[in-house]
Amino acid sequence: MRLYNLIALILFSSVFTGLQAQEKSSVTLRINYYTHQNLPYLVAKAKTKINGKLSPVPGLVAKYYIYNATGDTVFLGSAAMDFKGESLLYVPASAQAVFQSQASLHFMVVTASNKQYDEGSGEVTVQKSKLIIDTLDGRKAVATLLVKNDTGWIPMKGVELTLGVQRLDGILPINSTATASTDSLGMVTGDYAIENLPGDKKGILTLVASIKDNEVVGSIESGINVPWGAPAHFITNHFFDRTLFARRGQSPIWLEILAYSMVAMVWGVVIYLLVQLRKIIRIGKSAAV
Amino acid sequence: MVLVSLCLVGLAAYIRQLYYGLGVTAMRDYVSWGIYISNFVFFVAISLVGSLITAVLRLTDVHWSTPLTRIAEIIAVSAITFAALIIIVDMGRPERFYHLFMYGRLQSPITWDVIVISTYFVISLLLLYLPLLPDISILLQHQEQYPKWMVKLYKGMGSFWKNAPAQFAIMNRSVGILSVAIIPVAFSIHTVTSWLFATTYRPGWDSTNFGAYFISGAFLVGAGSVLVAMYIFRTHYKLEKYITESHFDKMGKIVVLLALLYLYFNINEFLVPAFKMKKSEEEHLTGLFAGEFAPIFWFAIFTSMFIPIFILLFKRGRRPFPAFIAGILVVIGSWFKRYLIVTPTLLHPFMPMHDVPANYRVYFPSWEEWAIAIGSLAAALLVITFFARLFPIIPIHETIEESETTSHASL
Repeated sequence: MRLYNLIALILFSSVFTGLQAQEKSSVTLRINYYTHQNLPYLVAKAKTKINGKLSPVPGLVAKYYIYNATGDTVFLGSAAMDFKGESLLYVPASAQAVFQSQASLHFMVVTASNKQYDEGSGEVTVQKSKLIIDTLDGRKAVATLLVKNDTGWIPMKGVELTLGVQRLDGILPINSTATASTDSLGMVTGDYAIENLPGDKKGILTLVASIKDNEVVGSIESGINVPWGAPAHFITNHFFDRTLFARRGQSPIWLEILAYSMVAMVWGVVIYLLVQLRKIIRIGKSAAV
Repeated sequence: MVLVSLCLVGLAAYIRQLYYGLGVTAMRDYVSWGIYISNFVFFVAISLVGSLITAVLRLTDVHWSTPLTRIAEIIAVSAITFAALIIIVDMGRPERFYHLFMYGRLQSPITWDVIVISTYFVISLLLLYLPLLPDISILLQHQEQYPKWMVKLYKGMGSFWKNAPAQFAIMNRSVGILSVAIIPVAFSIHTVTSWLFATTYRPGWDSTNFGAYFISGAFLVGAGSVLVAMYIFRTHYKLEKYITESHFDKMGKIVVLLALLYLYFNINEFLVPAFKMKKSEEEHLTGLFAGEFAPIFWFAIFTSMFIPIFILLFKRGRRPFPAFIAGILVVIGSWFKRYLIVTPTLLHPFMPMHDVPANYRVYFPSWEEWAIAIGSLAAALLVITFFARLFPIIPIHETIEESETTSHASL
């Protein structure tokens, strides 16, 4: 009986260890507004202080809202924080009416209180904007930033903007002065000064204009395809070849012959021995008769 | 009772793992092979003892090992069974086990391992079963001593054995064939297990020495486990007449030889990369020799090799109790050695760990992992214990035959 008690104690103590009461921590919640290729989305980041250091809070569910013209909140959606304490939400089609009707956008994010953390909230206000990128004669890029006010779209001056080429892990500036402030027409121009940058098979590159963490418009990125790169020569595709690194069913013939003949030999011996065992059984049965 | 309790706690932990997923373990993106795989390698290693005692010694005409063959074989069968089961535990989704057979790539060492483990299991089972037949017949001659269900079991397993000369002839020939067949399969099973690591380009695993290194280590831990089992069965079942001091003396010498062999491969395994100290290997080797893994590393080296060699080198050390202690040290040290083969390498990838949660950078098994690993070890011992309760742990017929041959020869 004592043994059963011990097992029960071990099991229950393990289950309830995680349920012990803990002191709640406060959560700092930040929300940022982004536009990528004219698709708006929101990113919320949750942090808390652990041993005096700000650390990400994964697992919280962030609820996103937008304020409408009358100051009421409209629910956009919710998303869970990943291990970096970040969650992302694209502005849904259902919120387009509220989104389109306002020049200034005011967003809010909230997280509910749980056993570990207090509730948190954050807000951000941005001016609705458009970033247009195009090319001029020769290899020249031009980007124009427009913001919306009550009368329509107007150029915005003095916003730092980078012209570059989209690479796998970031943006490669098109020249040494590719980051500049927009002029009174909301424009930044730059010469494309990179030679023989590999593009796709036809040498197509994606030219990008990017604004990061601006207080008025948030972060915006826009791009167009241009044939300014060098055609990339891809290594021959071995997908359908029989190789050691190929997919299932595409192993080299020599390996298949070797492996299957070894398996057949060993299992042949096993089957032979099972037949011998059957013989032993038969001899025993006939001896019994 | 202790073994059953450990198994139950392990089972409870496994149910928790099934319910909540592998997230209950401490395994993350970098350390994706934890103590489950260490345990797997350990079980595969121990299972090799069947081929050493039963096959190698039989084929080399060494007769003194006859009383130990069944101990070695049941250890082999039990260990290989739990090696396969622990892999299913490590997979996390047991219902997908059949994917290994349905969708396995022939090019993958994991597929080779599945094939070799199942083959070795069948051969070991046959090698355990065939020599058991004459003994079952002896047990049935005294069936009034046993409960009904045991008699039923014996009849089901071997009522057809009538001690007919033709049956003996077939059995002896079959055991001879099995003894030959099991050696390449046994070598394959541990070589392929070593290739699971060595075919992966990582610090600590990128070695051409791995097959021989694993096999020598496997023979050592297998022989160590036989020393332990010999002592326990000898004292518990009063088998002093069959498992004599001479057996401990001879097995002790074998363990010394195997420990020296394993030491040689260890020197090969560590000296060569340490001499070159390539940047990628440096962190891994420093971690083992003088870093965070140094206490376990030196503990494993001393307990699995140096101390057992020191004990067993002397004749007094090869007496039953000291030999038993040496065997225990070998087994414990060898388990930690497997842990060191698996985990430190995974914590030292070529590409630096970047932008990952803090718990990805360290690995300390969760209580569920410990419970399952200890539970599986207990279950393997439980199988051996049950077997010893049901069947003679000393092969009666073979030992009688052996002693008759020896006495005829001495006359």
